[in-house]
Amino acid sequence: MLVKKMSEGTLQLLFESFLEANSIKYKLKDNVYDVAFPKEFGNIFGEKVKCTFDEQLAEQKNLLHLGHGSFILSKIISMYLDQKGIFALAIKPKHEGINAAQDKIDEMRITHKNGSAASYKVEEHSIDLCFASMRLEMRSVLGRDTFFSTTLFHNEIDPVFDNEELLLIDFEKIKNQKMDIPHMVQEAKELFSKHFADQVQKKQQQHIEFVQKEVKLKEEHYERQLLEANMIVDQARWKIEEKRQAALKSRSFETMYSRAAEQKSAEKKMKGAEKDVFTAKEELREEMLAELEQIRNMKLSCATELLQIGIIQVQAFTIQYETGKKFLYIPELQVMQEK
Amino acid sequence: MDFFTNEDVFLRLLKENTLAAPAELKLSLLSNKASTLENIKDLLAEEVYKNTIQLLPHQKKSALKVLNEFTHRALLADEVGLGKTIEAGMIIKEYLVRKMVKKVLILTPASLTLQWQEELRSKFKEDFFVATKPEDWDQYELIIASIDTAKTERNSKIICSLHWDLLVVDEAHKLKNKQSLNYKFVKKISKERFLMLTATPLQNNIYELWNLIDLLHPGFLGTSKQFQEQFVKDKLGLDIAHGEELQKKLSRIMIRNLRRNTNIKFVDRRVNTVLLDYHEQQLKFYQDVLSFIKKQYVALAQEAKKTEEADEETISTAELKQLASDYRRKGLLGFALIMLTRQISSSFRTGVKALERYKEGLKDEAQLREIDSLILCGKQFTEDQKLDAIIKLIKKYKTKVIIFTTFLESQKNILVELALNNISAVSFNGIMNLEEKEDAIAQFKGDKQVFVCTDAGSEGRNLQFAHILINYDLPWNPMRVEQRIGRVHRIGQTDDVEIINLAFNHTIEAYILSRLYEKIDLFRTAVGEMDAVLSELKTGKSFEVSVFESVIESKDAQGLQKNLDNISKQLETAKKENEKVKEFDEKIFSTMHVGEKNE
Repeated sequence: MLVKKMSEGTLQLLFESFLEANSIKYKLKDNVYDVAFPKEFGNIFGEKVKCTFDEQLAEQKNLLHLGHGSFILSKIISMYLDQKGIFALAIKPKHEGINAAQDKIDEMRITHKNGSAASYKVEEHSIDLCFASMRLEMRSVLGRDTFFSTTLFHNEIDPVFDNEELLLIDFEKIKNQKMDIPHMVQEAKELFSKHFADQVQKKQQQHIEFVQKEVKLKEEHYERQLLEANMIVDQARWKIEEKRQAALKSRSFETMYSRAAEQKSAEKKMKGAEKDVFTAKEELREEMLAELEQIRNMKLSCATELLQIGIIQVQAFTIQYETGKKFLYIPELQVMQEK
Repeated sequence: MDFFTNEDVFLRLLKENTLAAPAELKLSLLSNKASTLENIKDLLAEEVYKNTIQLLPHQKKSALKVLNEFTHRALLADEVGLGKTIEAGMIIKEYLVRKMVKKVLILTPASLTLQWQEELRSKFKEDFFVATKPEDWDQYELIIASIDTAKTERNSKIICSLHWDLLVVDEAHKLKNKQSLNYKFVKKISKERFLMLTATPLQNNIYELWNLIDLLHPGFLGTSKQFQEQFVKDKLGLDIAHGEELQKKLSRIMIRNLRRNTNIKFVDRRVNTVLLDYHEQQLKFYQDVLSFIKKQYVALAQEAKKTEEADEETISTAELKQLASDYRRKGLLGFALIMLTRQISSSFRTGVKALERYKEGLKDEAQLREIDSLILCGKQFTEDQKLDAIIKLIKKYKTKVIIFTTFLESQKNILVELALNNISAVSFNGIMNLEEKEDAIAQFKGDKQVFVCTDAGSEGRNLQFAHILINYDLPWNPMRVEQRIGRVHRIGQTDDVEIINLAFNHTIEAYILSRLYEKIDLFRTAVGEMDAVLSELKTGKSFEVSVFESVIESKDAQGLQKNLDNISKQLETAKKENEKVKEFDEKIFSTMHVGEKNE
């Protein structure tokens, strides 16, 4: 799946990250946040706020509920949503990387053909991964869809998309990092174009199908109405024919004259009906064209925007087996790739 | 696909050496992830209006259903009083917040444009512009317009040349006739999304429903012939066939919530008329003013007739222009006379001020002498029995009270009297700005006991935290009375509503009360129904004018009562017609469920 569903826990992470990033004091007890917002945020959220992610608890204790669309979270989201930035960061290792690499090797159990364990060589090094995040927004009559994606790329690895570990990692700033922005932007653009292609195509297909369905419905509807309008004239014709036949079959001159007069009157009525039907058909045609024009005006728009770009320095391990197989392992990102 | 790489932004940041802190990256990632999670299960805009609207479960479900399931066309057909406008407002707001629409046009009857504007502003914090001129349609993105103004040739040309992201048509039952100009005009408007609102999708036969749906989504119910063959039992279109199938189809495009399915508790209304007596001199003054007004009106009518009969060929263009300007002035004077009659009925102080203003337009010496003597006489009455009654009532109820008056002058007098009696009060009227209005409501919700309000300021405001309403004077239009009641007798009201009407014996107001409003049971009619009743009246003139003409044409009190009885008969017939429509609607929709049921 392109965009992984984020749990309520991650909304919680957003909230807590916001509080910590802005050095806002809070206490968390029994799922209730007791937050003292400083003045700059207090004006927006209130200075003392008790809130929770638990909807039932919020209702029971009359607390502010934090959830999708809630005021505080919407505000926080809007503060950072469009923020563009460049950065150079390193991941603070949480544990001994070599132990993690060893665990991975145990897990893989690479063997020779005869089943005996293959020996290997592990080399630790640091690599600078390029990072970019991008938002795709598609709008059509069927709705508005937003997709967000991140990528990590480097000439030694296959690009990694939407690495969830990034949301949980602690970073630290690195200094004097050189960045070739135009090159990074160009590469990110190419990667995301391919990455989003399926999504865009799927949406385009849905939109085209919707438009085709609408056009078909309208065309059939108006064709049917035109047919029904024609039927009025047809019916008048049948009536004339009926009267003519009745006149021909008359046994007396009197009846014949009377039927002929009826035929004449029916002919006169038909002329009126023809005129009405002609006008009605013109109107229907005009209506149909207007309806089709309206459908054609239903456009699908797609726009992507690069939001963040930078370098993330990570600890990596190259694992070289005597069988010839070679892997690159980045423990902090849980990335393992065969080279 | 538009590709924004923001390369220049990144290069600038690099040049300035402005590198983001780790927390900024994390918050950007989390915020963007969170924003993609927003789906229409949650109304993003709810935060904006949840404190100003007491949202009901059926309203939220209906809004979500339209947003999620109806893609681009919907008919909101809730029964009267269930908050269709709120549902529409929620849908509009959600579309705007999600940036799914930009250019929105709301078409309503002329009488509702300002009410819509006020509701969208006060409840949904959206500023819609009430458009009237050809240049407005392109200039503004969010527009409300009277359908009659919009369909005029000079406006409709421009409206139809533009593409609207969302079109909303209120009181859509007025489009049930395929041949009408309104129907043809709405059909021609280029719209991506289309929302229609009506409480009465059916009035006379089932074909009207087909007409409405075919306007909303041509072809959705097939052609009229196909519809007739499939779903209509009889030629007159009074009975449906294959109800279940029709229900299934309609539930993909229409929502109709019924009162009985919503579990909303509607409180009762108690009406109490306090009839006061003028003393002899007061009554004489009142009658003298009325006879002055009658004389003025007759003179005006005669002059107007002369203007109409003027032979265009024998007079010059300059004279014609003069005549036209006179005609307009007389029209205004006619209106001024209606207002004067109502002002003198509201209170003598208000009436005397109005006489002074009216005097400014008079030139005839005899008329000036007469009006001067009336003004002089009116000024000697310092006693106001209505104000005394109000003070007694407020002291009796000892709770929050809303006092309605039509006139600013009367409002001032009431406020002064309340202050003299140490009763805390706050005023509310149409000349206050939005902030002042919000503040006034907040004060009334807080510690102020009395809310003195004019009709012009009351539209769209919810005051259901009070339940006692005093009509200091009485509007001459039942719609206005209903709007006043609608401020308190609405969803969320927990106490029975008490309405107290103040009027003087032997006055027009007393007759209107006894001969018109009580006969049609106006004070107990469900809020929202009066519009449907009045639309059945086909008099071609406004209700106020009909009442005023009854006053003018009557020689004495008996004559006036007789004239009012005639209007009352027409109203009763219209009410019966409306009952028939309701019965027919009930018959058809009782077999179908196309609304939201509450668990």
